[in-house]
Amino acid sequence: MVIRTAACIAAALVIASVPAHAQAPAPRKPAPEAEVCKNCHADYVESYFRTKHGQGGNALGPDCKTCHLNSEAHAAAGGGKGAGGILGFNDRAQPAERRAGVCLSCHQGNRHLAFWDSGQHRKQDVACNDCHSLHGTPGPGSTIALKAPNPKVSPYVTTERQLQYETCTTCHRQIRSQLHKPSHHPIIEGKLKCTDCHNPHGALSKAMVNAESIPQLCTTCHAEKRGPYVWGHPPVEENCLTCHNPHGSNHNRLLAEKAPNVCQDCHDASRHPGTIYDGSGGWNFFPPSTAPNTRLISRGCINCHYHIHGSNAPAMRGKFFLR
Amino acid sequence: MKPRLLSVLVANLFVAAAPALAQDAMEVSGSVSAGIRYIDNNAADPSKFTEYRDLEDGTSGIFGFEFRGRSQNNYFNAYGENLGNDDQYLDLNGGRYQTFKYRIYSDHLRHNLGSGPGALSPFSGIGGATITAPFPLPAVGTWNSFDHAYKRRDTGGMFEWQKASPWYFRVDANEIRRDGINVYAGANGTSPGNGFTDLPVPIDWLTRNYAAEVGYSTKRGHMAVNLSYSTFENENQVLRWSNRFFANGLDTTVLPPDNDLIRVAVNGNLRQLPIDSTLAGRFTYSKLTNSVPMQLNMLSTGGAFPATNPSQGNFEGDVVKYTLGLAFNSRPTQALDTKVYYNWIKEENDSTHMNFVPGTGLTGGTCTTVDCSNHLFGYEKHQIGAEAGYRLTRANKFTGGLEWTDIDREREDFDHNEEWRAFVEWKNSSFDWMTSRIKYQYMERTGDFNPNIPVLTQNPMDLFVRRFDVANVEQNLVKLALDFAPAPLFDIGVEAIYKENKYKDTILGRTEDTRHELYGSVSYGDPKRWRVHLFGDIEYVKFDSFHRVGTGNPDPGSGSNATTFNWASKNEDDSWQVGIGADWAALPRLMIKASLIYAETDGHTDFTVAPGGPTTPFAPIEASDDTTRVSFNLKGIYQLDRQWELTAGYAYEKYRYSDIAYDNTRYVAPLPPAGLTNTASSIVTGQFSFQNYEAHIAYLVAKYRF
Repeated sequence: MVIRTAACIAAALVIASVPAHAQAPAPRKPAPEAEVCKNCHADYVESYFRTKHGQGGNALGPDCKTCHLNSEAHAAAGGGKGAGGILGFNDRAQPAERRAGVCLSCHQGNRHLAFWDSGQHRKQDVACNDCHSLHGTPGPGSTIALKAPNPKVSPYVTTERQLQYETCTTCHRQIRSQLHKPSHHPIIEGKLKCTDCHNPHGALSKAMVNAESIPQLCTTCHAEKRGPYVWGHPPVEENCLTCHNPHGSNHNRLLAEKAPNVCQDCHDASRHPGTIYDGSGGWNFFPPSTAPNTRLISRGCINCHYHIHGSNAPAMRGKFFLR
Repeated sequence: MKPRLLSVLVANLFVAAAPALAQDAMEVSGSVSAGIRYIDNNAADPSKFTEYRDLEDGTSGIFGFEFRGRSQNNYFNAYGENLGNDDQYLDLNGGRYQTFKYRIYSDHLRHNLGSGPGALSPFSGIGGATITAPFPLPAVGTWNSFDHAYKRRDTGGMFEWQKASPWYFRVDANEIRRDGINVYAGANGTSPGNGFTDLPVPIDWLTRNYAAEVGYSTKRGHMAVNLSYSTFENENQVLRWSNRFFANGLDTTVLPPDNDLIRVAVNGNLRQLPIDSTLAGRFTYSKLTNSVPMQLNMLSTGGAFPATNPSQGNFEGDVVKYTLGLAFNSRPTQALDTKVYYNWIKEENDSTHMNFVPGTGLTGGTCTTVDCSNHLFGYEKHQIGAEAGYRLTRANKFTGGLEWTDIDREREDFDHNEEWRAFVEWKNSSFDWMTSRIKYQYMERTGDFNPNIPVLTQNPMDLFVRRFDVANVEQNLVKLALDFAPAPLFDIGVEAIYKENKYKDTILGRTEDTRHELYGSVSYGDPKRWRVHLFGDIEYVKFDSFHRVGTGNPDPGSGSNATTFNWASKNEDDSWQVGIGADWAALPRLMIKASLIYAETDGHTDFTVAPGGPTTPFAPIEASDDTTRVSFNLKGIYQLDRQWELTAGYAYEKYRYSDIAYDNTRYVAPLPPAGLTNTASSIVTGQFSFQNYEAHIAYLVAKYRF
């Protein structure tokens, strides 16, 4: 109901904006130098006018020299890489700070970049055009043209959208292999984006995550694990990453280590969980085991202590996360 | 899809197109696509194959669309795919340049966890809040099958207004509905040794999120206030299930509680300060609450329902979290870049203190020997750090940092930790064709172990346990990244990671873990003609731990005998994968795309018993989440003319899984016939046990552009 109402309000605002068109400012015309640039860089000029920057109605859209700077000197020098002090964004010799500086000259006031200076990307000399394609066309289902310089290497997926991880794993290479692991968030399937958890434009949080702490981030989606619980499990409440690896894992449920081992690393006692749950106790049990060991098969310890994230059951039922 | 959502989306499409009818002519382009897909999958339980993907066996349709509208002042984008399927995606966004933007969307996902032989249960009433099964259990062949899956439907939107002014406001709202069945589990008798039962639980969850933000943003600074509210509702607060261990009476499992979360955040920055500095900060306050009625009786021995006698009838959850983050970045010189930061988190848990004095006979409720009062967890963390990067030459940059963290916890074993972290990094780009980066990080954490922890009366071995999330540790981390570009359109990348944690003062618990990873990739080619990308990755992860078992002297230093002894385990998780992808413009109108991935995981656990312990050998675990997966994709995209595009594709996947916990699952343990009449037998649904598959996918899609 509320969502529908919000959608209707948004629609009404859009409708309300239509009469304003009569007073709309005159559309921006391409700068005259574009015609000069076109003589040598026709593809780039044409592709630019198809971008959001180049839209006729975008009065703040930059012209060629806004970004590439000394275009007149470049033309006067007869062109060529770097000639006349032209700034080529694909020129590896150009410092990231200079390339990003051009974008920030307009976008620094953008709220999305409020923490750019504090983020790791700036510290690591990442420039805007390392991810964004300023002359590119957004891929299917995307509103922003992101760079994906490599052919797609992926299992069959049901989406045709250009997926963000293809851009991010260009630099964060080993994350690609994590995403392909048997247990993974639906990132390669296009149901979760890197930016759902991280802010590539900078953040005050570690790893530029979109929350003040890891549990706050994870329970944004996993709201059923918020609690509060009568019986909490302190490591859960402080840091989900103690037991889980969100980028992908060999083990079910993104566990960093398989149960019972992951539990035994913290819990020891005279009987279980101090017992050795060895290879004789699986469904294919063999002597000395005489039956499958219920602490080894299936989920291990979690078979009985299922409510490991916390429980509201009374007394010992809850204290030991049994109910 | 619900009719109401469809109507809203269609209405908004017209709304977005309305400018075209006014004076601002909108140019609309786009495409619609339709096709068929044929799938042949031989899995007994296809849930692994269909996880996150709606890929039913047989023939099905593929439908999608994309519209883009552009005018002098307005724009919109509409996109839809997998229409009518469980992984449907719809998105409409647009706006008016320099004035406002909006988005509404609907994103569906199906979490497939088990079906066929992977989802069998003796319970009836699955999907409801009460499930029952007769005792003795019926033969497995007569058990009920169910769909172990739940759908996730995320529907929402946002609107943002910022017209020729530094001021802006934005509102967001979304609703995430999850419904279906998941399998929980519960101990039969609640005391060790009496087995467990897999419990199909109804998932009928609804999360609603609302947020509003007002801000002021210029090049000199930014300030924003954000207010958000999130509520989680579970239609079923408890699951009742017949527990054969307790005379088949109805037992109770408490399900995830409703909750409400309110959060206020203020963030901002000041730029262009002296020495090219920026000061950024964020303060947040959040309050998480719920109210949960306590179960006043719980099933116990003989089918009795002794009173649990809680000190309060309701548990009132109340957790408040404050956070503060400050960062001061400056560039005193062109070559020097510094950052000083401070982070603070304080979590106050003011939830109800509960105490239980259960009635006689409440098995597993022996509160006379164990404290039955809850211990509410909270913590406070201060973190101060500084980093500096110095560009010695244009091609050489050195960075170093130091961070101190102090944590106080309301926790019984370690109530305080102090952590020092230091790193150095060198980045070199002396050669046009190579960039290298090497980083070393050292971290040391120390804590104050409390030898008087109250649980010692229950488990004296806890005196020697050091839990790895808080234990004293030394960490070494080395990262190396190399990028070569030996020729135009040719890139080689290498990344290596070594990380070790040595829990130096741990007696019982995890003593060490290490991770080695090596990743390499090669890319070559011109995207307009052909390009290829090859990658390979090898990862070794190892966990070492030390334990003690037995009812004798709990001190590991007292040595081992046949019944009370020390032992160690070495748990290894290895994985490797190679992948290759290629795009080839075989003809001016034909693009061919191919991808092949081979991935393998291999786990192994060894056990070693200390001298003096039992001489009976303990068998290693050879199969621990061992998998192989082959994924092959081939598709051709042919441009018939300017309007029509034809895509034909074939994909092949093969998945093999072997694990000691799931290999040869027989649903009841101990094995039948004893299992069916044994009140302490364990029963499972077969999840993860029958998911091996080999699948062929063929598809043909026609796209019309306009």
